[in-house]
Amino acid sequence: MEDDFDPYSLPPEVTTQPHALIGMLGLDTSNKATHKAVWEAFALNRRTDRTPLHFCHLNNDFQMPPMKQKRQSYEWYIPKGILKSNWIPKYLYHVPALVVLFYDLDWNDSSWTEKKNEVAGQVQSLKTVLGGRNSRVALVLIQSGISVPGEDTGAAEKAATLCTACDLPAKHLFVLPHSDVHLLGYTVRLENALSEIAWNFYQGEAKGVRAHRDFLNKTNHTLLFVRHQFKLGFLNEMRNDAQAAIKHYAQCYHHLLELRSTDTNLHEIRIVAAIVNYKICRLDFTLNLPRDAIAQFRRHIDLFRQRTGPKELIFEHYAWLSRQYQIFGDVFEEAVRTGLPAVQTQHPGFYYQQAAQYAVLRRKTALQVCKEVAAPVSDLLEGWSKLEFYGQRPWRPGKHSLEPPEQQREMEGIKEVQYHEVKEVNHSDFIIPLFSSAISQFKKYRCPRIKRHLMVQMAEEYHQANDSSKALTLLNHVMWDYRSEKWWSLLQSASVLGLKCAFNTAAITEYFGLALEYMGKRLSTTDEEKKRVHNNLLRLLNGVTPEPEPGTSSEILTAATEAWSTLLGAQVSPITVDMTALVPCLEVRASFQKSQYHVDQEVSVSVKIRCGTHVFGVLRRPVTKQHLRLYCSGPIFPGVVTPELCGGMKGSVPPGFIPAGLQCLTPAHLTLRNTYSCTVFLSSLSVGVSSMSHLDRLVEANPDKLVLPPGQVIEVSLHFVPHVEDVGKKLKVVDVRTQLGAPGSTVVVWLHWSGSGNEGVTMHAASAPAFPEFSVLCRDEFDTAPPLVETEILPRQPLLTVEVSYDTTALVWEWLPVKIHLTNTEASMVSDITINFGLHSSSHSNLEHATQVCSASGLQSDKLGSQVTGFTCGNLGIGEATFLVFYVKSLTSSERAYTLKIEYSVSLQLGGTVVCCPCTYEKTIQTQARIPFQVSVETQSLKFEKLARVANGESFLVVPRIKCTSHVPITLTNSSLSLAGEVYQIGTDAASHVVNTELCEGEMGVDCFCIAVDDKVVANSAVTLGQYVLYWKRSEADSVAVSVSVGLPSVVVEHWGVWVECEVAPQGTVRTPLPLAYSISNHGSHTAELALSMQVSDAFMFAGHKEVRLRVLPGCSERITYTLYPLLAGNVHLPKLSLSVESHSPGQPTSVDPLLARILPTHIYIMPQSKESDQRISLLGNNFSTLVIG
Amino acid sequence: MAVCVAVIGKENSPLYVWVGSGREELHLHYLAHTGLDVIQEKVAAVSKTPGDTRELYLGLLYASEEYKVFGYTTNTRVKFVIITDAANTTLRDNEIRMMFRRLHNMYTNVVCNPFYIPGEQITSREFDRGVAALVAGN
Repeated sequence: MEDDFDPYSLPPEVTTQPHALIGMLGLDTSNKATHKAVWEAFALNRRTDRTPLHFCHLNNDFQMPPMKQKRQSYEWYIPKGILKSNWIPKYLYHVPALVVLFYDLDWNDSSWTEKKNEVAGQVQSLKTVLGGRNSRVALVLIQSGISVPGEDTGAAEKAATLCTACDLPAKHLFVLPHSDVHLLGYTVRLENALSEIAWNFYQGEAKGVRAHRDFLNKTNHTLLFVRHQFKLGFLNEMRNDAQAAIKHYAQCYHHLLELRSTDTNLHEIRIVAAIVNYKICRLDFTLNLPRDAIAQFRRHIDLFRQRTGPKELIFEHYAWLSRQYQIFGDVFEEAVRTGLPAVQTQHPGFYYQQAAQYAVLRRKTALQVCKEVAAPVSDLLEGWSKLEFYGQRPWRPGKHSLEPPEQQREMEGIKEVQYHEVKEVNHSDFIIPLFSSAISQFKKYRCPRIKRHLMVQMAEEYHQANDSSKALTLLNHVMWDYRSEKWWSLLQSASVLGLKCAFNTAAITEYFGLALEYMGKRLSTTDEEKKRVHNNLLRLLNGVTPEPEPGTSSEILTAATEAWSTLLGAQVSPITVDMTALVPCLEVRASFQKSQYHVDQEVSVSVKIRCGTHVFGVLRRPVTKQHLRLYCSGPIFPGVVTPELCGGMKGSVPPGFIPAGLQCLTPAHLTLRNTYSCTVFLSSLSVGVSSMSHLDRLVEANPDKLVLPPGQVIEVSLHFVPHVEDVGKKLKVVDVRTQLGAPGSTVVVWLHWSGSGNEGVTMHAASAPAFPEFSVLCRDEFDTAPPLVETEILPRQPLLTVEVSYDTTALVWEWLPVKIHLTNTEASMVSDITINFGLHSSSHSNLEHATQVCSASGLQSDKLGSQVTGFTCGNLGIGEATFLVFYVKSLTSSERAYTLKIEYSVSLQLGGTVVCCPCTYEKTIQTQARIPFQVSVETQSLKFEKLARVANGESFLVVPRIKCTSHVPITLTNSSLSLAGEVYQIGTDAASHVVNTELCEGEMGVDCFCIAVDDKVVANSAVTLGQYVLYWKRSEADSVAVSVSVGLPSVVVEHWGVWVECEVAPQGTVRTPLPLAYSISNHGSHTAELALSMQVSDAFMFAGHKEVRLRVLPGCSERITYTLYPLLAGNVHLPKLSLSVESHSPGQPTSVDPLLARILPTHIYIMPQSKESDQRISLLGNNFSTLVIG
Repeated sequence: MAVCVAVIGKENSPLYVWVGSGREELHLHYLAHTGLDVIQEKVAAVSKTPGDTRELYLGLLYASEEYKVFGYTTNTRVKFVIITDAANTTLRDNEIRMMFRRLHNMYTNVVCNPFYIPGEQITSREFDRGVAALVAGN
């Protein structure tokens, strides 16, 4: 009995794709390179788009299978079976449709005649070998040169003679020019021609088969109807006519169904049906008729599903069904690979799935039916794989009868098949690949849930096949999804299996995880089951091998027990169960009590624990209690937590701690409540806390003994002192860990929840409503209250007293003092005071450039920014006070916010240690800056008239007016002019007129300076005069004076050739002669011819030239004097002088009157005559007149 | 008549599963669960073409050798699954559709109960009775 023979699958020759067989003779591939190339061009690397042919290389001594004796009459012929197993291989491999003889012969070969005769001889001997078979013969001449048929008339003639000599039809002679370049093209053309001949052969054969039909009768030859139609189908397939083949196969299937079937011949019928069905489905898929294929397969299954065969061999039925589905799945998948689109609800996966299910059923029934099988006495199954007919029984070969010929032998045969099924077939080897095929298909067609279901089934199979570790791996993949989708029923089924697998493989971590889940209330296992698992857990904690799961077979049990004892014998390294991925019976929620803590406060974390497992009224057992030892330590950064903390807590755990706790409840109490709670010992609990700086640490506490009643929530508070480094950072609950099992027990199990306990799958275990709106209905705070996972550590609340005094209304440009009084009201010395003061960080960037801040010492510095940082202030003893001032300058009038940040450190007694704790005081102050005064500057002539044009050398006035808009009085301390280079001040000792002037809001001060522009300035150009600098401060005593520069207006400079100065006394007296002189000077380079006239005035009589012509040489001056006799008192008009220039030098005005109007006085005060005649007013001589306006 | 009726929540967790007595309960649970694959695909395919008023009845999801699985989804993505025997030919598509409508009405009544928390398992005697009547075909 071969190992790889499967009596229920298709024979390999059936599944081979039938192609026409063409034999190739005369190719010496080993010696001749051209022959090798020709052979390879034909036979190797055939692509799918080439004609479907199968070439075989024949040697000269090949033989054909012998022909059977032709039967003259079918009258007495009783067929022995349906399909002969040697027929298909015969046509596939042994009977070529065409034998091609290759021969090297050129048309112009020198020894043409001899070679022609040799070819003829070879053809003749070939025909002899072929014998009675109808195989065709073709001759191919391999030629080295390319000949064009039209050119060489001798070739056609020679071809004809060759054909005659060989007795071949002309169409069977071919020429294959051998050139490397085009060889493949020639062979493709040649093989097309050859395939025609080959297909003709199969058509002939089919005709022969069809001819038999007339001899058949319906009584004896029903089997032959099937066989002949099959042959016709197959031969049509060989000649590449799929349509005709399907027709014949369908006919064949039809005939097959008409056969009477009994338990005896059923197997043969269904094996043949499988073959025919396979052929039909495959051809349907090839012809792109997937619906037909599926319909045919459905019909096939429907027809045969009921025909189960004998009870003793029922498993054969399922084996066969499983094979059918698998074969169809394979065919379907092959079609998909070649481009058939499949959909989610119709793809090969479904067939593989069904095949797997039948394979499981096969094993199940086989185990039922063959309970008592003994090893066979005789080997009746000998030759099972080499039977003459498909599907017959090896103990009665060649017998197709409705009843078994020998009852006894039949019974023995069946026994042997049963024995074979149970002992020699490895069912898992069938089932597991089917599942994995199905899984990959369902994955491809987006059916994740079906895939998971299959994975569970596959895991079951692995478990059966004693490969529990693989099963466990598969289950782990699946269970996660069932948990997150809350399909507890499915989870339970996987969990039960998983627990078995974990037990079998002694996978202790998985065992703990699954057991904790199993005990939870989500899985609706029975109370006894939960108790059993719980007991196993307790055993395991004490280092005892757990009880086996129910249904564990004895040999597995032995292995498993051994594995457990090896595992438990050695020191078991601590186990960590990731509770986040489970739906366990223990739930925790770790939450900070507040979202913010100051660094000197104790942070408290509350851990709520809910034990979800409880079984009522089952057993009276001591209620044990949860022992919580909560601790906090810094395992990652040792020394993060102060040593006293850790040491104190760890040291307080007495030995035998847990057993003492166990006996805490009185039996009376128990009876009252009558509960049994699946106890979970927690010997410690810790919460991992992490801040941004990765300072992870565990928080530990050791509360008094706690009783955790089933289903209720126990809350444990943990406290720790945050570190100074945590200030400004967020602390986060990273994980919660509890230790299961007493300290000192063999097995240490850590339960580990990442996050605050409701992350991952664990969240699904809680019964929080899907919509938070309904949390009101769900009263369970444990489920609904979201834990505070993060808390922020704030700096310590500062106790330093800080008083800040300043004027909220600042003046633009001034240094506004901000006075800060610090008083140490802390309980200890304040050290390292550092002050940062500056513009608030959220201020607009424009303000940064328009704001200057400095400390008192930095007032004189030029580089001032908007911040003063790191201003240190030393230490302050208890109760001491200090005072400092910052100055703020606002360059624009807008609102500003400043931040004052005082950092200092203070040593504190925190949790038993003295810690240097930093504190920060922050205050924001606001100022509104306003412009203190407005300066407008005017240029005026000496007559106080507004002027925009001046002559060079002319003196004129600059008059700044300062209007105060400040809310507080300001004092102008000084002022000066900062003049441009071409401008000079008249009278260097002239001082400011506003020195120490105090102005209040609305008041105005006027300053005045006399300046002139020097001669070098180009005519008619604008000259910028310079700046007016004003020094001012608040009138308060301690303020700092600042300077403000105001730009002076610009004036246009004119050049006049002549200049006139007037000499007159500031005032005259009525009827007293008053001398008046005009001196006219020529500044130009030419001689000036001037016409001067003096107009008459009513107020005066005068003596002097009324009209005169003058000639003034360059650089000289003329003096014209008048004596005026005032007639009227008061501010009277002087006689008007008018001057015109007569020589027309270019660029000079003819009339000088506009200049005269500006520079000469027009009026003069004439006093009335005094009573005392001796009071005379002296003349001022040559001085210029200065008039002061009152 | 039907051998299994399942109400499955928005996040694909079972809210109610009824299995005919004497049936392989676990297997039917698996079938109802695996039907979600097809429902998801169908719903996703429909939601790609906006503007269509969606047909709630999704028809036959898939058929195995023994069972046929039908699906229905409400506008709030609550899914109903009804499983019948594959051999049962008395239940036509229209009858199944009517069963789903009735089931939908019954579910609406459950949700209208102010004490019912949506997304929780359905524990309602009224609903139990309704389902029992539904599968009995009267």
